[in-house]
Amino acid sequence: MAFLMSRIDRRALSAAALLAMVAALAGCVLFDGSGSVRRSYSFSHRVHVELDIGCTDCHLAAESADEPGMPGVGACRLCHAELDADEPPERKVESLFEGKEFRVTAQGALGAEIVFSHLRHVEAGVECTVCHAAVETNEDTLGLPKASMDSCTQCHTDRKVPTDCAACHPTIVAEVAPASHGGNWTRVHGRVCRSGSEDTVDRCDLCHKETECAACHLTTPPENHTNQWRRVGHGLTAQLDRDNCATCHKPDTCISCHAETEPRSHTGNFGSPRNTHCLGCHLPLSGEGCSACHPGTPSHALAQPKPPGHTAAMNCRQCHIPGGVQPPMPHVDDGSNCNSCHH
Amino acid sequence: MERSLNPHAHARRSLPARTRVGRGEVFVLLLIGATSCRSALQGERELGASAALHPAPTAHLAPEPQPDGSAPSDPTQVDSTQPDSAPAAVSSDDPVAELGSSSAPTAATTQAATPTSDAAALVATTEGGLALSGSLMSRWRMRKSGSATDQDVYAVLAFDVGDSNSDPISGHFLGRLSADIDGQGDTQTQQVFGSLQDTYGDAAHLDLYEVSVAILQPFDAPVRVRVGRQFDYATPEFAHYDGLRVESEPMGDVKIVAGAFGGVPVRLYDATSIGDRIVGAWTEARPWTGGRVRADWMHLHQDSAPSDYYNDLLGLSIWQRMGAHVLLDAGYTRLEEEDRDVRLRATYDDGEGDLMVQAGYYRLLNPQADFAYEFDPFYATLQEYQPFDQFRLLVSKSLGDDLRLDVGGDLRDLENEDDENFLNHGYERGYATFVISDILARGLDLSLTGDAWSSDDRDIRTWGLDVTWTPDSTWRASVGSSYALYKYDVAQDIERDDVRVWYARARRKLDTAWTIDLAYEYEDDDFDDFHQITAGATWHF
Repeated sequence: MAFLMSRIDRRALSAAALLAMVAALAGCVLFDGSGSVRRSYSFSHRVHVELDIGCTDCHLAAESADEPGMPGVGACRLCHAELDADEPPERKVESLFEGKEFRVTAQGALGAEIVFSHLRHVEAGVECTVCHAAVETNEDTLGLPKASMDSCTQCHTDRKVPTDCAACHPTIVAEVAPASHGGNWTRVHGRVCRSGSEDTVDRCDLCHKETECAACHLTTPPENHTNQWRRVGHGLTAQLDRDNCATCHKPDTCISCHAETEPRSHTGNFGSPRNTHCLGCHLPLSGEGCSACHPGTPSHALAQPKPPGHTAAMNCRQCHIPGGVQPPMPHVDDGSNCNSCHH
Repeated sequence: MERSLNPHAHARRSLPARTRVGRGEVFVLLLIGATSCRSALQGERELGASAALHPAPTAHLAPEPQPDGSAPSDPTQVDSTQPDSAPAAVSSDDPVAELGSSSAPTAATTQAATPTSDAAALVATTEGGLALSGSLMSRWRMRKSGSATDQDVYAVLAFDVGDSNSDPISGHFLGRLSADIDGQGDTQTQQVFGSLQDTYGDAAHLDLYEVSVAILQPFDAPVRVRVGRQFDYATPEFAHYDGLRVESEPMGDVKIVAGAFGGVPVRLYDATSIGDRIVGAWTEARPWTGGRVRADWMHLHQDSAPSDYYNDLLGLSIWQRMGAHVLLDAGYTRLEEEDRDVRLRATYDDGEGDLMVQAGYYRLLNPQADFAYEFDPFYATLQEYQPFDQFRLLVSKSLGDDLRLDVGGDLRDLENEDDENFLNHGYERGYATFVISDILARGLDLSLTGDAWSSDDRDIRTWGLDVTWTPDSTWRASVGSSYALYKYDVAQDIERDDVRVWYARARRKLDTAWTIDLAYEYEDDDFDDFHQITAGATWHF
């Protein structure tokens, strides 16, 4: 796909990619935002609490059943029939109902997958506001805060009741990966880990221990790290995208091997003696000279001595250059003092 | 910053310090590990099946249920003797419903409540000690190519003692023992199988990745402290160091957190850390709904001959959730007196596993060269890193119940075309993975993956085919093949390497604690062909 476009100007592709990204982002935001519901009604818990209306006056089964129950329109009418007499239809209490059902239900409820018994918690002496924090000041049911899993587990821990997954989740267990871990999860999970999201679904630590990150990243090489990769492929890829290597490796990884093991391409006559192939990687050479590539090669201590009549004061480069009166140097001219090797 | 005049100063740091472990000691360690694991497992089994299902020491069997089936009376537990089922649903015609429905649970709710009762049979407690959990993986690998053979063993031990989020004190360990058991030093073998591990010079080597102790709110101070060898993945560049890390608890409505760390950087393949140090500090907050911002400072001092590196990096990151499914994140770093890079990314995830779209942009703003290892983009081997723009796009889409397609692409454009050279490339890359689940039988999945890179003087193409059968949660078997073609230009000669790999792998989960695996791979490349067999066992505790 992309490789077929290699002849197309990369700049043009960059501009197109940027536009596509902006369009995709805008599309996502709009698509996501289109799901939000516009509504013309609201319900204030605060107003009702200030009138000394208790929780169980509306949620009749809050202390007697697993589900607290929602008020029926009849219950509301007991007060609102008179209160709403002069209100327009959209302001009457009936506007909060869809038929006989309260429109905004279960805003403070937990996910459908979670097992929760109101009755048990009431009987255990848990006050309503322990889970429904700030409900007495809540102005809009859609803004009703939900109990977080942290608050649940903290309370369970304090009261010495089970905190394992099965205590609340009939289907989620530590041994079974959640649905999000399918597909290309391996490729994108780092994004979730580093996002710092407080959503339960993004919390790695609920199932994974801290050492698991390093255990996998440091000891499990990618599939493409074959024997050929060890010898050739890694260098080719590193020259394209060194950032990719840096995900796991530091520079000491390269140096550790390459200080003693030259690249496989560095066989005899690599790149022919007179070209500047060394400078492709080892630039400048003036600092270390030959030892940059050949730290342990004894032959380099045995450089050919200067011919008779040549002294250390002579400028070798005056004659030993391509097209000069003498043959060019038989190796790369790294700018070193010739006398340091040629005694 | 003080820069070395010599780009190869890194290399002068000579070979790494050796952790000497004799070959005999390796066997003894592996034997002790395996034996102790087995013993521990048997001991655990004697406790009963329920305990084995919850192997962490925090869970133990509660007293037997009462004869009437109710849970034992235990004032510390929520009373589970109450009926799980709620009153029957009331009819919508019932006048009571007009006054208020009890929203009686559905049958599903009633059924789902059962696990709570079962779970109540267990009493989770942290009394009497900290939870110990982790794994020990041991693996033997044999490779053969021509007349050369190589056998290695590896053991990776990872465990956590306690939970750093809830226990006052917790510990973490991750280490790997690797050993060449058949003839390190054989010249021919080394030429064929030489690897990073061989640079240590000994037949056996112990890598310590993490050894740390975390203290939660010491002396009731609202901080977390961690001391020892540790990682920090949240810093702009991963920090791996021996030292101390302090982090405050979230404060205020905007949940401000501040932290600092310092110590000696860990470089597993470096000869010495004498004179090196790393320090850093950060703060983050959630100042508005769905938003998080973080600022970082990192300082590296690397003691290298002939001169030292003193590098400072500043980072600023921001994350923003927009709605339920869109996450935006951006980052900027500044290294020394120059801007280093910027990163933008947008992710849409429907949360149902049906569609995920991720688009990213990265720009390296200035040439990078010759910094301390943690900031060094491999300068010693790959020379300067030239500025570029990079775009990334990834789309993952479910195409029905049994089909899934992931496609993506990268585009890198060097800022200056003249910088294009052997070690700095612009490139295009495209990849795709197509997965068909339950293709012929339940649990039989087929996946096809292709990946192609293209730049001015090299192309890399790979494809792979994998068939995995997972008949149940205990068995997993795979066969497949991958192919890679490398075309590149070395000194104007077009080189071409192709690699074919065939493999067969199987993994068997013996019980909740033990897993064994066996694999065979055959690799045929332009230089040699290789046979590789690996066998391993992993114990989770």
